[in-house]
Formats: sequence, structure tokens, C-alpha cells
Amino acid sequence: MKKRILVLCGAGIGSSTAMFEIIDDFCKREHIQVSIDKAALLDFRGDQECEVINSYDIVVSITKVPAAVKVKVINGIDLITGFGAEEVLDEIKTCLQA
Amino acid sequence: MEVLVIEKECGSWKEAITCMADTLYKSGLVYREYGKACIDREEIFPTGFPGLVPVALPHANVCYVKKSGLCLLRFPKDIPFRRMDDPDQQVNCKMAFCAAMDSGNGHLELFKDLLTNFQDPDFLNQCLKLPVEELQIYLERRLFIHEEKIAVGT
Repeated sequence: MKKRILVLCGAGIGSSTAMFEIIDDFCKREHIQVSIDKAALLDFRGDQECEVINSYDIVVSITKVPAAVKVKVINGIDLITGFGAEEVLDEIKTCLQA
Repeated sequence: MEVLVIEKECGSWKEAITCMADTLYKSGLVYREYGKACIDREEIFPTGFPGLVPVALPHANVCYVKKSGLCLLRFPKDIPFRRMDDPDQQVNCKMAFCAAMDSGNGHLELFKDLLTNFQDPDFLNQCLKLPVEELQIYLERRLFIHEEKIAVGT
């Protein structure tokens, strides 16, 4: 089954879209079958909503996630800072293959 | 979309946001409550961006905006902002880009454009070095290519 990634930013303006495109390009390049969604943490308040986040295999976030999030969270900030995007992508790849 | 560039020494990130919000307000681009909305948002979702040159990207909901604009405030002395990826840490920012966009899509396009440019050392260098008036022209040319492309495409 295809793994599912959730790309998460704080207020949902731009940065998750930028990360989404980078991860999507990478997965296509590497022929990794994956389904990617993006969202803003602003939309996930409370434990109930965190269940939605927990339904994903991996979360790539540039914002601090609530403690109720139990799935693997990768800090995606370096995808957009210009420092070490490859390392983040490698980490995503490793998690997807786990 | 209007671009405003200012340079001012500020004592804190709140003062910096207030300064940008006042500038946008005086130009008729935002409502008076815009500054407070930016500060409230920054408290919950900080925007300190630890890039090649650290910057902050404060903004508020579109409902506080009359007309799209962007205010760049360059700090003679670094101002610490909390990091967007870890609010427990701070990053000393050289400047802040305060975005006031009147649509969600406008916000998205501007942020994508800014984030792409933040990976370009030449862009960052120009932002840090150019005199204020020249920087305003530079930003107008540099940042709105995307807008023109959309216009041509439709």
C-alpha cells in the first residue's frame, strides 16, 4: 500500500506548498509511490483532530506539532532554508522504505 | 501590489511588527487592527526563518488587509524572533518581510516567491546592501515576475 505523507506548516500560508512541491518532485525522481497531503496546524486543534494527523505514516513539519501526534515527525525546515535539503529528503526516503 | 522598504532600529520583534504595520497602515493598505493581528499570530505561530540570512515573515489574516502590499524592514541591529520550526528557540533576524495580502492565493504566491528567493545569496545580499529606494525598485522587479506570468497565462 502507498505510504502517506502529511506536510504541515503553522498557519498554512505558502511554506507547506513549497515543501509539498519539493517532496513531490523528489518522490517522482526516485520513483517512490507515495501519497502527499498538505495542511496547516491551525486546522488541527485538539486531540480529536490529531487523530487525523496520526493516520499518516510520516509528518514533515516546519512547525512544532502537539504532543498528541504520535507518528514519525521529520523537521522539514531545511527543505526551504537552502541548508541540507538532501539530508531531509534522504530521511524521508529512509522512513518511507522502513 | 505595493512594496514599502524601511530601515529602523527596533528593540524587539513586537516593536518591529508594529513599525511595519504602521507603515502599511499609513499607506492605506491595511486596517488599524492589522498590527495587533500580526503580533497575536506571531505569538502562536512564530515566523523566524533560519535561512542563509535569517529573516522573519510576520503576517495576518486577509480580513485585515485593504489592498495587497509588502513591507520590508531592515534592522541595523539584529532582532531575535522565535523560530517557526521551534518556538523555544530564537533566531537573530537581519530583516523582516511583513506580508499584507488581500487573498489567500495572493499570500501563497508571495510566500512561495519569497521562499524561493531566500535560497538565492544574491537576492539576500541585495536586500541587505542596497539603499532603501533602490531596494524598493529591485523588489518590485524581482518579486512580481510571478504575478505577470499568471496574468499572461490567463
